[in-house]
Amino acid sequence: MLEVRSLRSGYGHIEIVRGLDLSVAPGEVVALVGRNGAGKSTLVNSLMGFVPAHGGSVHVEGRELTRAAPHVRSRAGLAVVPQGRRVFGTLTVEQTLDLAGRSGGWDLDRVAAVFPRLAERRNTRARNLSGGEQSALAMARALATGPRILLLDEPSEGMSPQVLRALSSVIASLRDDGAGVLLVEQNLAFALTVADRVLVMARGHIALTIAGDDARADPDSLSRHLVLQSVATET
Amino acid sequence: MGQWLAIVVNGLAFGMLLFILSSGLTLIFGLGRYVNLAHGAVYLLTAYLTIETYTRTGSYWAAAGVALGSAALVGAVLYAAFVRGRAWLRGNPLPQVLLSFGIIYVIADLTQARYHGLAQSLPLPTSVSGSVTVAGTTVTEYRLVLIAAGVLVASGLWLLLSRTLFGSAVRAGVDDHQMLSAIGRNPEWLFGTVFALGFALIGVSGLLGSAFIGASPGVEYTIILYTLPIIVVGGMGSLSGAFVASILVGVGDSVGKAYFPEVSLFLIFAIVVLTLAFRPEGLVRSA
Repeated sequence: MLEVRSLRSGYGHIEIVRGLDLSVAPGEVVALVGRNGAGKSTLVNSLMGFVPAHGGSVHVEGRELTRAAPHVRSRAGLAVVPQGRRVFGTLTVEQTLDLAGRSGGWDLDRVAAVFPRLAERRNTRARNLSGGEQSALAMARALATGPRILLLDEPSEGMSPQVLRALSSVIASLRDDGAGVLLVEQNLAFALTVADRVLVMARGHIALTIAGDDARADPDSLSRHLVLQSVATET
Repeated sequence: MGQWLAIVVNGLAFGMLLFILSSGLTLIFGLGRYVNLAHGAVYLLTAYLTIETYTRTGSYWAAAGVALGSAALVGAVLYAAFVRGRAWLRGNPLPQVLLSFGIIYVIADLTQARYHGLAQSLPLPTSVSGSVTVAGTTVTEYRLVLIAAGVLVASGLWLLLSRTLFGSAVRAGVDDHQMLSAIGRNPEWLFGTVFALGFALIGVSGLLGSAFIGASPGVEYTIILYTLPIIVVGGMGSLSGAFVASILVGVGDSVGKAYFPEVSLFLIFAIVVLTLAFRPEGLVRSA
């Protein structure tokens, strides 16, 4: 369970996340959409402890983590698949999973069931993998820690349809395990296929919440919200 | 031919001593973006302590224990006092250099007070004090010991970095320390361990070097002159790069001193200039 209250965060004096509330329940998939510059990536980086919180609070499984270091958050059950993948270039696939691995996390066999390519390339250094394979490795690395809450920052970016299908199945099995997922996504179509709830972020806070079924029943209305919102911010 | 071999063996021995010194330095830099320029001073301190311990006890084992122990202790004190928890210091060279010079002055003055600025060196154990004849050339055994020690340290570090979980964590930290902490590894703890390892390696070089280049005032700066080129030429943070560059600098220095003694130090910096001109990221790019 992820519980964020009035979170304020940003770089130096510049506040990008401005009093944001959100929660992700066990087994829930929450999609976060919004135009560029709305603060989505800053929010993810702040939740993982990469960017300091200026105020508000963050709790995971009831534990206060507002000012905790990233490794403390990881041990409390948070994991991130960052934008741009950020794999460890000099480590092989197997070394990466060994390093990230924890009891209760996904081992190489479970990863191989979803990303068979990774198992084939287990002895290849990450920097020599293709872009799609690196995306899969960034996913597998987060899963190896056995997350209770998984933060996904633009995971579909540069993914082949095949890897995208694997991503959907990963999200489904996390949901079955009772883990929560916060999915930051530009690809609205993909976000709609997996989300239980869709949050629209604008100017550093949540501007709108729509149930996944409503968004799926009327996807155009969500698109219109995003367009209207961007028009509203630009004028 | 014969003279050439002696020059090369001499250069390799010096190069391996420099490698042991720079391997710790390059690991600390690669993981923590921390340039420790005080390694020469720590070498000086451990070399003097090695010689004093041997003179007092007559035991090489006791001298070895004091060398490693004192280097690790200095490393632990420096880490706890100046590095731990000070994230702003990382990747911030100016305060690092100022801090390093402060440490150099303190250590150099302490050794000056205790050893009165006398140049000293460790008498060799009889088992390695002889010489052997290779291809018609006389080579002192201790130079071969130094070469073997360098190869041993390089292989040990290579195994540690490439075959163990600790090594994976270090390499991952060099690649992206933020993501390393995001998978639950405490980067502070890891950096502290690497810091201790780096200083222990300076202790090893103090022990081995005390019978080769010895301990004398000024060596704390001479070592900086030789090891910084190695780190830059090898690629900052790269162990294999440091190994190759140590051989280049050691042999280059030896050849220079034999044939162009007036410009031998210039030769080393010529290697640096050529590297920076053609491969500014160093000979080897990664750990």
